[in-house]
Amino acid sequence: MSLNRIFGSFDVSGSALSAEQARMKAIADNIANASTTRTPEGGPYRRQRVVFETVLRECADGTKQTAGVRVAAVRKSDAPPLRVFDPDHPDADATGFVAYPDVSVPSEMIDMIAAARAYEANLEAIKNFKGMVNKALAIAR
Amino acid sequence: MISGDRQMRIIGTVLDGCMQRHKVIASNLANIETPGYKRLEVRFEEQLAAAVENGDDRELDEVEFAPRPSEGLPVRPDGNNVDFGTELGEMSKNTLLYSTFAQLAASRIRQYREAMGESS
Repeated sequence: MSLNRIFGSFDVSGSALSAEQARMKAIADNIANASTTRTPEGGPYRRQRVVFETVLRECADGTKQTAGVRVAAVRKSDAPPLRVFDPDHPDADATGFVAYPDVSVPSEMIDMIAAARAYEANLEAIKNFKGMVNKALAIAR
Repeated sequence: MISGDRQMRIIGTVLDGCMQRHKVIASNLANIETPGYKRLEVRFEEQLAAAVENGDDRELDEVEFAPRPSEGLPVRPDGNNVDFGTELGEMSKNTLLYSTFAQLAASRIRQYREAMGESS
């Protein structure tokens, strides 16, 4: 049994911690830019969303086992911007409408809570595993 | 491990199984937001019980810990069927089972030491 197989649980949970952190960063970006009407690529800010994918590792016997999770992509929303009538705004178009990002702050907050919970759960998995390893070391003490 | 000690081998099998199961639970928790991920589980208790009952040592070595997809769970719209609470509950159960059997192994070894006249 290789070390990697014994301590693989740390890698699995660790990969989830980084993935959830990336998700949290995207949410923070979204909230920070909820009213941004100017971006380097032009137009209003577009909502970001991380997409996760399972990491698979091939075992010695050829079968594939899940070995954690990673961020597959950070996708920008294709939803149309929110058009708000505000003719005094410097970025208003000819008809007086301003294009705002399609970010809904309450829904970002909910997503943030989910990300925080998932982070905690994975941390708990690491703690549990550490406890198990310590118990194993104590067997022959 | 002390070969020939059947009880110790059973304890060892449970410890191995719990380790494997923890990894699978950790993987389920890690993929709680992965679209299309299907929950995996490790079930070895039935096979172990059968091996213990038959009294065949070889059967003990053949107990399988390979993860299998769970069946009959409600699937979310993103194709994922992992439930947060279930995983946390299973994780606690599994950790406790591991602790119990690690304790059993430790006391078994203590018995050996005492039998050999070693002061502990």
